[in-house]
Amino acid sequence: MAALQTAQTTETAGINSCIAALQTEFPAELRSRISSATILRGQLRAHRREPRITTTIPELDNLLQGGLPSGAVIELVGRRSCGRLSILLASLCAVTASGKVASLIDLGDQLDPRSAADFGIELDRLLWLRPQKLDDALAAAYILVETGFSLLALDLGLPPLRGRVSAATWVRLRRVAEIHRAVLLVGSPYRVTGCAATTIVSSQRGRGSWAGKTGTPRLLRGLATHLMADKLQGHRPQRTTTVFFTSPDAAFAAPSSTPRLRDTGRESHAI
Amino acid sequence: MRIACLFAPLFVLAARLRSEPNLRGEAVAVCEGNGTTARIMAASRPSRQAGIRAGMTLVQARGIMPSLIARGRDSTCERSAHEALLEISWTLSPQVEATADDQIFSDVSGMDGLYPGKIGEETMGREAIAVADSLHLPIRVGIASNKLAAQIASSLPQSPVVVDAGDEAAFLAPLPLSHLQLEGRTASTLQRWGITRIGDLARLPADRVSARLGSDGLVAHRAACGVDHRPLVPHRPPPVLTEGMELEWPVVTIEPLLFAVRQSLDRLHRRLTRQELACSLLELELDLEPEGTERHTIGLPAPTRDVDALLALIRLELESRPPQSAIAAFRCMVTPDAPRRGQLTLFGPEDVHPQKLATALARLAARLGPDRVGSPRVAEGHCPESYGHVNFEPPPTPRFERSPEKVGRGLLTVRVLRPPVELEVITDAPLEMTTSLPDSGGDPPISTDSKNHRRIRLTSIASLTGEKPRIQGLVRIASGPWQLEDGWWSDRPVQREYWDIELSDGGLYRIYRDRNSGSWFADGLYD
Repeated sequence: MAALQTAQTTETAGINSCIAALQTEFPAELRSRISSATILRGQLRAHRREPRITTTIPELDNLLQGGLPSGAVIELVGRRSCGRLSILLASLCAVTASGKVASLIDLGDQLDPRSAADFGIELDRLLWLRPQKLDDALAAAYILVETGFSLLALDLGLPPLRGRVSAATWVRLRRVAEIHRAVLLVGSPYRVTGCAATTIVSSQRGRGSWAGKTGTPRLLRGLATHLMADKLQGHRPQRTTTVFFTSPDAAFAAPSSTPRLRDTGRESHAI
Repeated sequence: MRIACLFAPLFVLAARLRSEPNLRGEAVAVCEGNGTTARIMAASRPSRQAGIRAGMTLVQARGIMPSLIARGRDSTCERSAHEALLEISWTLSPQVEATADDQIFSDVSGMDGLYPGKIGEETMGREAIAVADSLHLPIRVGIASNKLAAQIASSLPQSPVVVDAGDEAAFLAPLPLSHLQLEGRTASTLQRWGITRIGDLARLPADRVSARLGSDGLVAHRAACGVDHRPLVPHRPPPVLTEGMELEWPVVTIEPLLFAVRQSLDRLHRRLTRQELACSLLELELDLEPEGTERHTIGLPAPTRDVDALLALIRLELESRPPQSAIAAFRCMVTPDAPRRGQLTLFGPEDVHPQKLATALARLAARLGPDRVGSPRVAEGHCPESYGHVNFEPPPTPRFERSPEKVGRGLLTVRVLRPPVELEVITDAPLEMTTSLPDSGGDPPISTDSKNHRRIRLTSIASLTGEKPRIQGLVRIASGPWQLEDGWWSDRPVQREYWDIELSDGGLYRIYRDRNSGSWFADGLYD
């Protein structure tokens, strides 16, 4: 990896020197018009200033260079207990909080409305679909992208996935998302979008964080997960970050206090 | 007062051609009766040019024109055509009266603001005719100051015909006496007297006519003078819109039925569009062969008039509940409702167009099922797996776009396993502590992350036969129990002990023990 980066740096330096040498051959008034494609692309990207949807997770937003890009398919890959669904709900919270509608296509039928409400999602603005097959889920995504939803969160649930779709289906979905400037955030236990995703973030198995010590009552404090950008359009891949998700029980408890009563009626025993 | 009369000539034929547009331009005749007693009620222009007239028997007609296409009367088509005629008249005025299936009077007083000038009413009539053409129902329009003059004006071929106020007598004078549709004895008497024009009857002294012909003669004389005091009695609109047809032969499969249903839905779409309404409830009534009726009710998540979405819902319904026998006729009944409207804001966020949203919801309901499309709601009660589900009706967009917080609550959510996964809990060491999994019995919580403590292994029972999800591993850390009780007043109260655990493979689960049965279940995965 280091060798690859060194090679790329060397190549870039070589291009810049060629550009500089070419510029000296031209009159002063024309030198500013000589540039490389990389520089032009960066200028174009900066000029566009595409609005991005924040995930409300600062570490993930930094990893994605500001948030979820519009008109793109972003794939979030991870097995169990990796924070995948929490990231989807956090992104939905950002969109509904701004007054827009969003949709969660829940292939596994695993959404907990209580959790969604705890996240701050405005349930009135959340369209919850529960397809039973993968092709139905993608067909629903196609319909909603054409309708004008700005964020579609597609949660494919736990493995194995029910149904199969071709890579061409994902590519068509991406093109429709590009046309309508929608964001399709796909949470999957393994890679499914093929080349259609412009951004791929993989989540390694998280580690639970527990309050208390061995031999004493324990409380689940949260989950720490390690995210890596396997594919990031226009940027170098392999960037990593760590995110900590707080358990709702611990979120309302002081660091060393006993867990407080939850409104679900569950009562904790403290020694 | 100004009254418009909308008249649909050859109504039974026009109603039939609405449902079978492919027969337009053909030699078609609509008959009533069966076998040799079937008589022609109305014939199309090519048929009339060949010499076929109303009143002929079908046998006579076929003798003149063997290639004549004969159709029976269809009450469903006629009712649909009558409703369409009502809707056309509502485009002129809300005050309408239906005196016959093919004739409707409409109060058009005060329309000079919309249709000013001398030709204003004529323009209004032409627009009504254009609306009728869009619904595939040719009509004639007559406008006058009373119902009689308007009715006679609408029967004339050059349409629309406008009779100025006070000119009713002059308008009627040159017309044949048959336009007054007099009672048989009166008409024959006048004919014997040589009275052939309405003006001739109007010039006779009223008292002499009354003395010779009685009250019927007096009524006829007043009509000939253009006097008609009959008021316009308003009509109440039907609560549903209906379109349908009787099939030529009973159909068994769904595809031919859907082809005919689509044509009915197209006509309903035009009628709903004309009234700026949408369908909120769709009912499909099937007449079965040899007898019987089936009704299928289809609720819609949002009012829509998208034909493809409605047809997909009907297909879904018929595939899930196929008809018991062959189908001889059908009717599509639509309960109209105002479509969702949204006021876009100047500074607010971009929102989905209400009509597009309603169409999308209908298509999603057709594809996934109506119970799988909606908004989540927190259900009452303490059971974590319970949830509520309502129709998706987002509130209006805020006036100003709200900037979302850059930093959220950073919470961890749980994937609810529906249904809960039954577990097998295996312990492989003697008890070292007073209590631990699997039977906490209300004792203090435990910690199993020490090698001196009991080892506890969880396995999902379904995974033993290869089914998913597969939950397996040693319990590294456990937190609990939390007691949960719900529905203590019911026959099957819920009594559970909940634990948060971490398995050796790193999975974080929420499990519980049912105190009624003693079984263990996993109902959540922290993700």
